[in-house]
Amino acid sequence: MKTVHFELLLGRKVHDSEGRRVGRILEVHAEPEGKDCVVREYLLGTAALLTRLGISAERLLGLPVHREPVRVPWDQMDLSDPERPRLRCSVEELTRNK
Amino acid sequence: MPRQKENGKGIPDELELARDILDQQVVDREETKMGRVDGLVLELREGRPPRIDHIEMGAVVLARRLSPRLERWVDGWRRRFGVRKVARYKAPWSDVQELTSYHLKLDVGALDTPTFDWERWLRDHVIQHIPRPLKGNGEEGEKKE
Repeated sequence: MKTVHFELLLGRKVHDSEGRRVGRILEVHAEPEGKDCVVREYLLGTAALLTRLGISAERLLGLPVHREPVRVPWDQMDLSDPERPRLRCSVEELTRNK
Repeated sequence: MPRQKENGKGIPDELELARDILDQQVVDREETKMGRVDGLVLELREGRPPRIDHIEMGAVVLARRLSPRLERWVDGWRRRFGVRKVARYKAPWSDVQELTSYHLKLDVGALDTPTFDWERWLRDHVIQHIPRPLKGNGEEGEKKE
């Protein structure tokens, strides 16, 4: 059984299939399914820790912030190496499929 | 916390794992506090979405979140001085009975789990040896068993 520790995934940098940096894992969205609770998508952001704390340069300057996290469906995330999570597609394909 | 689903358990129909589960207060079926969710383990399945396998509790798990070196140090300390038999208490997801914004309830008795090893040790090695208050006639306040 292959397992990953969720708490160690948080804040990990994610690259796409072409090696470009997409963001850091901010959050994981899950839903109950029968007796289980299954992962639906991963939320990636640019500044994981600061975003989780609600801090950003824009906020500090009093500017409105409209940055949305990148939503990655569970089947597009490759966690075979949990220390180096990768997308199975490029960022463009991810946004195109939305 | 999102609305509750009619899933037979008090678990919301949408969960954000970091926000809703990690570091959440854990209670047993009698609502006795057992600690916090220090770790969450996902099972990766071929062709199917990952599922939550179990939650983990324990100082070693918490230390690992900060650094692997600190984890080794805390585990070494536990082996030398600790009374807990296991470094981490693992509760399968199937034991989760209810999840609210203030606690995660497990369908277990806290006293039957390793989370209460320290309390049991203190009861047997310290509390039991504290002299009980004397009555006016010099007898102990309560009968010894």
